[in-house]
Amino acid sequence: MPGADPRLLVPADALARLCAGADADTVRDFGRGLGTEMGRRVMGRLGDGSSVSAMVEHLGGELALAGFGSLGVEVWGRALVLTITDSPLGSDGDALLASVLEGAIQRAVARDAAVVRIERSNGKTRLAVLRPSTAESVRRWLGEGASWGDVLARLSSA
Amino acid sequence: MNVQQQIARLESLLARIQRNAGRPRPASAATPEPAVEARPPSEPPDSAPPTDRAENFDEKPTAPPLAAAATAEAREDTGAEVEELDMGDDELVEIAVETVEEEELVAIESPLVSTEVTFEEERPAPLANELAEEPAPESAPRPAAQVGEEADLEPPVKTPPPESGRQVVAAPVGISGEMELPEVAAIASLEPDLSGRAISEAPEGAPSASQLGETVELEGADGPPARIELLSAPMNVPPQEEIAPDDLEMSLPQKEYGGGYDAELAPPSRASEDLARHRQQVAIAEHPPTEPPVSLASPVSVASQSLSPVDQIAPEPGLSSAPVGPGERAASPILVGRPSLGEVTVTEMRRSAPPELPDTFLALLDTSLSIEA
Repeated sequence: MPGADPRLLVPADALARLCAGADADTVRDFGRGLGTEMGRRVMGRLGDGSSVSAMVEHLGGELALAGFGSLGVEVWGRALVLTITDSPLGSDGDALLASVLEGAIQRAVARDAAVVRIERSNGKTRLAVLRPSTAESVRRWLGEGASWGDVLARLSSA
Repeated sequence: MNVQQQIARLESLLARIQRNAGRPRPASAATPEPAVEARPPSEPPDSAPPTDRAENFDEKPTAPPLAAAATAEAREDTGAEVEELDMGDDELVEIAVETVEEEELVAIESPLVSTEVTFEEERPAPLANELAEEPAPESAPRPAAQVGEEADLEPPVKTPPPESGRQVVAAPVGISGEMELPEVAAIASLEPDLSGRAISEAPEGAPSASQLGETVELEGADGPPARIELLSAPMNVPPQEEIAPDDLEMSLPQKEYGGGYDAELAPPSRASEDLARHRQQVAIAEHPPTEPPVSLASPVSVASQSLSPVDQIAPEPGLSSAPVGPGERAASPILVGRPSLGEVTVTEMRRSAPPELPDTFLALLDTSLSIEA
């Protein structure tokens, strides 16, 4: 891969156990580091005015090459929701996936965005891309037992 | 003189010739021919062993009787004495002339015999030694040429071309599966055509084969020719006389009557009413009524009495500029509306805005980041 550092192939289960044993900040730093490299490569190929489909294609290619699954985009009202399908890390690796996407977006488009997992079913994870303050509200709603539909409705009516 | 008598005479003549040939003859002035020339070219050489056939060839004379007579005449020219050739007139036989006459007679009597005689005519004149020999049995071996000649005895299988003229062909006898003609007597009574013309040539006064073709005789052909009756009216038939009118019949007005009314005829009883109704319809057509008709969707009584809130469809603001004539107003329908339910809202419909995807990913991201909760 051009412009990439030397890589090491690690089994997904070993990485998942490592992430499960580490604290949240360590996993977040590890994930952001992976995403920053992906965003840098995507930005070098697309530029600022890239379309949604082009971004999904290139960023999804980087995630697929890293072994994190297939990337998708959903738009619920005004909210941007990224989907990751068939991730080998499972539900234990969703925090790591969110950290990778935050680092990639920050490096690619120079925006500070918080990625929050709102739903996971049938091997598909939905991650909402929000501003950090809104992301805290969403985590609270989810902690209170609100469904991901209610969260999206609240985001649309906000 | 028949054939047997001719054969007997020829045999006696041959016996005399052979007997005289054995007597010693005086030396002639003619130069003798070499013996080698007398031999046929197919004679085997001297080195070959002698055979009976070679000996017989030397003994048998090769010249026919007529040729021997010619040789005798030649010898008389050369001065040689010939005693044996003094023959009487009764011994001379005109074989060719009599044979032809007999052939013609036999041809008329039987076609089959005619074919055989023709074969005899085609054969060369018999040699003297052949006449003296006894006839060989049929089982004896024969040369191939003779077998071929016997094969020619068979009647021709194919029909000869018409250009060859009339021919007498023997009818095949004893062919299995052949059907006999029912009118054998009629066929036997037919006379042979000895004219010698070609078959395609028709006799004088008769139609040719090409003209006849495959003519089929129809029934009733011998009857008088049919008469075709034309359906058109005859031109020369005299006109029929007019029939006298009956007393009970009334004569119709003729073409001289130009038409008109009889002054004594009275008008019909409803004529005044019909005239008044006609004038009323004309007046309505000129001045149509301004009141609109009642819609057929509801009963007339209900529409005119109980349903007082009759609303007419209000034209849309953009379409109300054109003036409406009296005829068009009358043709416009009247709609009966449902009673109003008051201020209660039955349902609320909201038209959803179509999703609009931003052009760039950055715009989409900024929209999502603009959400504040």
